[in-house]
Amino acid sequence: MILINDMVSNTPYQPGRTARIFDLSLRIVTVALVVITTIGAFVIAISLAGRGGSYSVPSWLDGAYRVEFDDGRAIAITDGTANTYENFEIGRERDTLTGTVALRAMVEVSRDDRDSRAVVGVIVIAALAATWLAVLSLRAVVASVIAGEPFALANATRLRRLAIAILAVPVIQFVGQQALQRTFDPDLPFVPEIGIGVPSWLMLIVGLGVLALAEPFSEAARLREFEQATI
Amino acid sequence: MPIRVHLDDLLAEKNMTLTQLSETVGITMANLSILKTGKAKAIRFTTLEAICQAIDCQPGDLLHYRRE
Repeated sequence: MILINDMVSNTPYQPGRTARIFDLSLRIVTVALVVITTIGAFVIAISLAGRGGSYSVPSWLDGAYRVEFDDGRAIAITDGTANTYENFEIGRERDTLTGTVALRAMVEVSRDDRDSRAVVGVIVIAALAATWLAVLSLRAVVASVIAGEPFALANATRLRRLAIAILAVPVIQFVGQQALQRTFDPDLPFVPEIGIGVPSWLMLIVGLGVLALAEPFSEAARLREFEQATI
Repeated sequence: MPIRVHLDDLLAEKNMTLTQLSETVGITMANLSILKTGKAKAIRFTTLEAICQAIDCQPGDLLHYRRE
């Protein structure tokens, strides 16, 4: 009797502890995301209905808007608009050429108009959509790893979705910033700070890295399919 | 696929069933069916060797190329 040795081990795949911990973490994140989405939807609905009162956007007072001051303690900004400014965190910058001291301040810009609320609502919805896309894609990838099927063609697609979600963050940040800035007084150089604390260049690198990772997964899935049809 | 597998013809010639071949060469019926129906994408030399040895034939008897 001739026997052919199996080239592939028949031992069932046992998911590692790391994969299980990661899966559990993602489940917790999903639950948190459900809560955040529910609260976010509620707040946006109330805000767009015009019953939410004013909100504050941390913004940098930057660029050409310079306030010279002499004692360095009390700063008054009067721009003749309806904007109100609170919670100053003032940094002084001395122009080494002219010797003048310029103001660079972190300001809470309070707004109470429907346009700004709509813009903030769209930013929040876009950010939540990107987060959901990232979390659901990642969960599906981890689930396939636990199931012992990491090199499936679907995972390449999921990784591409994850990359799109990551790359969308700096785009949402930039577009949202521009849109929000336009709802402020266009003559004032306030730059809204709506980032998530991670630099845009880092998000771009991570996003492109995940996008690149999708290609080997796609190729591995193709090879695996070929291997399965090999007698 | 332009490669045709003549496993059925060879088995009939040798008065052998697919089950007997499966038991002799140690390849599952499922895999032999994939091979027989032309759904296989590749065949290992070890598999080819085992089948040829079991039914006493040459690889050329088993596989034929037909231009499409």
